[in-house]
Amino acid sequence: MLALCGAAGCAGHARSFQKIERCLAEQDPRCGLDALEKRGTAGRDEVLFLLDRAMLLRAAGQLEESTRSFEAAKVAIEQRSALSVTEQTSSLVINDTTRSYVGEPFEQVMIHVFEALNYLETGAVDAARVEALQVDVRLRELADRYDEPILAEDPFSRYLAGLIYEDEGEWSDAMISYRLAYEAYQAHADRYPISVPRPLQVDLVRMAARVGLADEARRYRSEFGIERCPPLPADVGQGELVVFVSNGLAPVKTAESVTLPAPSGLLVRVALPRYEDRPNAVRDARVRVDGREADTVPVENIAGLAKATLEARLPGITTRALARAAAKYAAAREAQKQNQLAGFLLNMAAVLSEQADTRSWLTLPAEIRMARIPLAAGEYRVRLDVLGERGVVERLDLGEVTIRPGKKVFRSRTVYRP
Amino acid sequence: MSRTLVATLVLATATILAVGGCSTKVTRMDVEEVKDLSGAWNDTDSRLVSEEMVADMLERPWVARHTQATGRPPAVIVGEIRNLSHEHINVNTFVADIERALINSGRVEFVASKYERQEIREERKDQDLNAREDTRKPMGQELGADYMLKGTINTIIDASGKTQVRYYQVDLTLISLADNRKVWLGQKKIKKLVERSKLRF
Repeated sequence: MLALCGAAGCAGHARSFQKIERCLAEQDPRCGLDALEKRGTAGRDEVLFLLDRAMLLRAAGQLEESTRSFEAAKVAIEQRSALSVTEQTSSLVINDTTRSYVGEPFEQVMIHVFEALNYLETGAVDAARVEALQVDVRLRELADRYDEPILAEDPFSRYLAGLIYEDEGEWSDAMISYRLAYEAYQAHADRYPISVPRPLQVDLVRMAARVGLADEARRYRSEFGIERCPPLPADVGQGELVVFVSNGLAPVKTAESVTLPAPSGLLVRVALPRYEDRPNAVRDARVRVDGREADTVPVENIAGLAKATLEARLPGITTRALARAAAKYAAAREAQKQNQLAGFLLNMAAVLSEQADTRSWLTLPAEIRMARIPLAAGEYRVRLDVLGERGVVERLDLGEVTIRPGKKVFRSRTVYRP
Repeated sequence: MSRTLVATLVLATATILAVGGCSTKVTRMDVEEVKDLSGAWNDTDSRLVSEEMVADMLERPWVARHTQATGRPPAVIVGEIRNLSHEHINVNTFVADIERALINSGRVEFVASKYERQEIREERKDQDLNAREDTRKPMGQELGADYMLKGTINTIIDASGKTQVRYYQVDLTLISLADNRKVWLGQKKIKKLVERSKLRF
């Protein structure tokens, strides 16, 4: 006999999130913030609370507050990264949700990415550069711990770091970051749908040429089939507009559990997390500026990355779940030998307490898209067309931008249409 | 040990932990006292850097040379101190420290920064319209700076597991506005070993 738990009963973390999701669908992040504050948080979920808060504040345009919340989340992660003796014990006896949540590796990297986007939006490039350096430290830490490139590398954060260095005029640092991004995109492409974005291909060719790596530039040229390469905007007195679109919402973790009766009459239950996509009607977005149109391209597939991460970590999670099931079963069996009722009660408690850890950073987008448009110095009005299955769903106004020669202007926008 | 005794002990420990965890405890500290919590840049670093930089800056020959040549103390303006480190560092505190120590030494004059000047000019413009003749401050009488103080904060972080070596290097440069000459270079290095705990309760 196989009893599957109803999806609604298991998706604890995601279910309490529905109100916030509705607010986001109505383009009202303020109501989402209210709902988040009202929902409150357990101490071990503090990191998630801070991350969700930071993302909602970002969507509401309160960038400074959002940055503060990201910084608080970093501190909380730092504090909780040490292995807790009590939590470790309870996670073996009760379930994984009794452990403090410190984020999946990719979620930790995304903190730096979105904080950097907050800074870039306000033109604080030096502060964004701090985040680029922190990403590097974070990824080195992760590479120390994991061999798997899905857990130890991240393509977009590398690419963004490259763009930041390029804006600062630090060509060689930019080149190194572009190269690392290129390698990360390739390593990740085996595991989920993502490819080296066209703008990065162009960056690789022209930055390699700019720093005097002629051979490498030639290699990229033939690999990507780039005949003529547009010049570096800074070299021809142009500026550049860079638009990031956070599209949709990242998948949610639900639980899949199996409850089996053992020959002794006792039940054994194992619950494991699984990702489920959230609906998204937006397929693409197009930037319109200066009478031109520029398509956005996917630069980070967070949904794919999340699923690949879980896949890589599932063996460990399963081992822990099985060990727990065995321990719980042994305890109940021992009790059963002494007293039938005690055994039954202990077994019930063990089965009911067995839950998969379905916590995740739910306000992350499903993907990040990017468009880059070189522009002559001047004032421009920027518009964004959001595209669905059958053409334009909505036209958004991203406001005025002032382009200066040799500098980039960054704009980001969150789009969620279920 | 009887079972009730064990139970009482467990309960007592739990209560102490719960109570201890709830109340906020505040202890006043001397500002000179060194207290490193996370290993990040803190007030002690800021103070050490500013003290050392000021002492070094004042004992170098550029001050005397300038005073001899022009007959008045050098006027300095603070330009940009760029944070190129791994941390979001508030550079304002040690810039303020440096400014205060230099002005108070009486050997250097300081000119208000770009942002401060804007406000002062607005006030002067307002005086022009509204202030009494004998108290009005004329425009175009500002003191032009002779030197600009610029600088960077850089870090190198080397980490393995839970151990980190953080190396900070603060470079300050004093550049002559007249001819781009660098008259003084100051450098302060700070190195910290940060070992994070592997276990917590």
